[in-house]
Amino acid sequence: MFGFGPFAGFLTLTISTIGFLSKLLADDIEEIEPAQVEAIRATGAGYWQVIDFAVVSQVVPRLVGLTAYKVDINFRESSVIGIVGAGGIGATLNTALDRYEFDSAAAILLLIIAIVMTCEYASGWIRKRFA
Amino acid sequence: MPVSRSSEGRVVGWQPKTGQQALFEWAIWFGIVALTVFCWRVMTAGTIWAFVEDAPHQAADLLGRMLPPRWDYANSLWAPLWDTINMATLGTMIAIVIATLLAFLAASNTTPSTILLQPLALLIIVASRSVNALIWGLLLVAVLGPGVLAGIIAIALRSIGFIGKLLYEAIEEIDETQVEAIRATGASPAQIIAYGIVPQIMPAFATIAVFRWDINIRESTVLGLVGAGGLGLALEASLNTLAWPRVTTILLIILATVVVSEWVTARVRRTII
Repeated sequence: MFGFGPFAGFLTLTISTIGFLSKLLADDIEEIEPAQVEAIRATGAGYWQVIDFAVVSQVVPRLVGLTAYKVDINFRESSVIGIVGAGGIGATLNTALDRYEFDSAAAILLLIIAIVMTCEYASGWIRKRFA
Repeated sequence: MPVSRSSEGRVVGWQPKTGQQALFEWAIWFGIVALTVFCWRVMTAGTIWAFVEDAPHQAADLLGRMLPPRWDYANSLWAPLWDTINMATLGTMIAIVIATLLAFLAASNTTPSTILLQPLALLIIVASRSVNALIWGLLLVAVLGPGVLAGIIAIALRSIGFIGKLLYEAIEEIDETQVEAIRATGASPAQIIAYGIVPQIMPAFATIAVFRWDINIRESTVLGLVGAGGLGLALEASLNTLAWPRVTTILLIILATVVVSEWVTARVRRTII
C-alpha cells in the first residue's frame, strides 16, 4: 500500500509499538499510589496539574523501562521486516541469499547479532538504572 | 538550589528545577528531537509520497477483493495446518531438551565451570535469541531445501534462546535452603539437582514451555512465507497468484488456530499455577 522502503516498516513497527506500550502503560497507570494524587488534588490543582505532578511522575520510570524493552524488540523485528520488502538490513540479507553470496550473508548475520546484543545490553542497563 | 533568596536571606521564590537541571533536560529533549528529524530524513529519502496518499484507496480496493472469503478452499488446508502444528510442537520439544541442558550450564549456581562452560552457554543462548526465526528459516531453506524440516529446525533454534534465558533466570532464583538440606543428607550433585532444584523450577518450566509453544504456533505460520512449509506456504502461493479470497480464508484459519492455542495455554497455566 505504501510502496517499498523503510517507510512501510516504520508504520508497521509504529502500530505494533502503540498497541504494546498503551496496554502495558495502562496497566501501570492503574497501579499508582492514590495518596499522591489525593495530596496534589488537595492543594487545589486542576486536572492537568494533577496528572502532571502526581500521575506522570510515578509512571515515568516504568515508561522508560518499557520503552527500552520495546526499542530492543523493534531492532530485532526491523531486520525481519526487511525480508518482506520494507527495506533495511533485512532486504540486503535477502538479496545476498538470493544471489547465493553466502559470505556476504554471513557478514550481515554477524552484524545483526552484534547490533542486537549491544542493544539488549544497553536496554538492560537503562532499565536497571532508571526503572 | 531551587529556592531563591533575597540579599537578607529571606526566601523569595521557588522553582521546581535548578537552572542546571533545566538546561540538562532541555539538552536531552533537543537531542531526541534532532535524532527523530535525522532518522525521519534518512528513512523517507526514497519514499514516493504519491503512494502514501493513494494508500486509503488501495486499502479499500484490497478489502473489496478479499471479501467474501472462499470457504471451499479451507478443505485443502487441513494438511498444511497439520504441518504447521507439527512444526511448532516438534521444534519446541527439541528446543526444550537442548535449552534445559544449556540453562543448567549457564546458571551461576549450577554450572560446573565458570571460565569456559558458562560463558559458552550464555553466548549460545544470546546468539540464538538475537536472530529471528524467520532469518533462521531463510538460512535453513537455503541449506536444506524447502519443507517442514527447515521449519522445525528454525523454530528449535530460536526457541533454544528464549527457553534457555527464562530457564536459567529461574534456576538462579531458587531457594538455596532446600538445596542445602538435600546436600546435608549426603546426596551426589546429580541427586541435588534432581531433588533440590528441579522441583522448584517445575512450575516455571511448564509455563515457559507452553508459552513458547504458543508463540511458535504463530511463528510457524509465518515461516512458511520463506518456504518452510505449512500454512505459510499456502499463504505465499495464494499471495503470488493474487487469489485474495483464498488469502482471507487462510488468514481466518490462522486466527482460529492461534485462538485455540491461546486457550490451551491459558488452561495449562491455570492448572499449574
